[in-house]
Amino acid sequence: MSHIDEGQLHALLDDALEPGAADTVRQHAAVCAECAVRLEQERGIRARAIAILDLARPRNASIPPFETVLQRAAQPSPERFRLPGPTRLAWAATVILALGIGWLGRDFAPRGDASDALESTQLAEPVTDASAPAPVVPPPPPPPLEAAQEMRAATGAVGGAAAPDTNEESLRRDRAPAAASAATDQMFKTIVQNAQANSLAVARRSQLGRDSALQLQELVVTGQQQTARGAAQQQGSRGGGRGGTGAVAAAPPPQASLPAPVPWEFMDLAQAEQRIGRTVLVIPGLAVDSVGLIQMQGAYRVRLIQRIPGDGVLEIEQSPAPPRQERELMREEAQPLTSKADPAGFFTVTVPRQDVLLTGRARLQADSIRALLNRAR
Amino acid sequence: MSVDWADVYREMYQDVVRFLYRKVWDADRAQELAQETFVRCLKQQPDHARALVFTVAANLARDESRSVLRRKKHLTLIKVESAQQHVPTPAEHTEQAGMQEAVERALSELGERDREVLLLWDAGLSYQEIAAQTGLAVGAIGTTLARARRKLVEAHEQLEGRRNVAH
Repeated sequence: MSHIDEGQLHALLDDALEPGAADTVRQHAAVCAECAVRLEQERGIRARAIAILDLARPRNASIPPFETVLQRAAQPSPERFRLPGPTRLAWAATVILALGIGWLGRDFAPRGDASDALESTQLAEPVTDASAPAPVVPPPPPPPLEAAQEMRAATGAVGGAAAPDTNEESLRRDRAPAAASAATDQMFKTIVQNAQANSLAVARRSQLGRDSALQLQELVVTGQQQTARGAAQQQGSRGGGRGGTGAVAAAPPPQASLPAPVPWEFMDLAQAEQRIGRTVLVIPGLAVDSVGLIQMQGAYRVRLIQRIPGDGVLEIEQSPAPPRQERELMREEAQPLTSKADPAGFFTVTVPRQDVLLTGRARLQADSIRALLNRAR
Repeated sequence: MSVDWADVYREMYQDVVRFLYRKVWDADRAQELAQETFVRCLKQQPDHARALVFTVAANLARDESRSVLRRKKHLTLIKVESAQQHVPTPAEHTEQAGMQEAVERALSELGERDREVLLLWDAGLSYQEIAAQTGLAVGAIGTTLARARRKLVEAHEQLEGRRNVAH
């Protein structure tokens, strides 16, 4: 017999050999000195390994009663909730069907190009409303950039709200011969309804911005009207004009939908300062877009629009400061205004400066507006 | 033939705890997993109850090792019993922890299959049961055990030598 391999030696030591095989190994070890030595060596290794494993034996805890295991087994399983097999299959089929319908119905969804086309056809409406009464006299100060952008977005979105109706009819005509089944029709209706709902939601969101833009536009337009009217009166009485220069056109009456015009006069900065007899506070470094002037209760109010590079415009209204006591009250009341933007996203901050109250309005954080106003000189 | 799980539980509980302890190295968690093992086995009527118990225990230990967060929620019963047991002094605890760490590291030096066979044998399984559990041939169990034991002894002596030098 050849020498015993270590596997057999360990099996012999573990008493894991069949009786016949164990006898054969023992007989060989009795006559083979080399295997006898190896058997003792492996016995030592085995004993050492057992001792090492015993070093990391858990403390000998008593066995918990079997009843605790039974109780735990009787408790509802914390496993995840699983639907029965047929229900799972039904759900899977439903999901696959829904995905399939969605994929097939993707052609029905309104596309961006369609809304763009509608936007271009309906964009003119508010612009004509605002610009119709504009006289040909002084070049009108351009409306703030945000206002123009908002008007564009608003008219586009409002126009887009009507798009699905048009699309519905045309798509119906195109699809009618091919897709006559009730399921397809239902799917079509759902898609169109969703598109309408989405467009209306966008339009509603934009409406606030549109209102704000129209207010600003209206401010500019009424100022132009007033300038023209003032120039015409002056020309009639004194044969010369001040403030608004150039030819005067008969200004059309303001539209009924607009509120009563505010008699703002627009002029350049030097003229405004000359008129009010004091310096108009301006934030240095920001281009002055327009200067408006209005006389109320014997005092002038100045409204400046200064352009903030990259951030739109800052509207600054300067009015004579009320007496100190009132000013303190006003300052306190003004604080809450700084923490919340109006629906158009503009923050308003009022800062008292010597005898003037500066009220700034911009799409900037209140702190930024306050810092800008404090730099005015 | 129906399995008398109460008998199997009494006979195997400590072996399963020992087996699990060398997997998770947390005595309380090993006991909790041992109970969970029997809870899961109770719902079955296997031909070989011992084989099923260690299969379930090994799976639980594997899941446990995969878990990033070790749950420290213990059974109230085990807590009460733990409180009644001998609490080692800090010195004893340090020495015990050092010895246990050496064993843990020595075991980690073994190949996965060698370690599994060694721990199953130490838990009391026969060569046939270990073979059925691991998928190895019965004739290969002795050789695997011989290799695992030698590697464990060598790795442990090496670690202990370093530990003595450090002290």
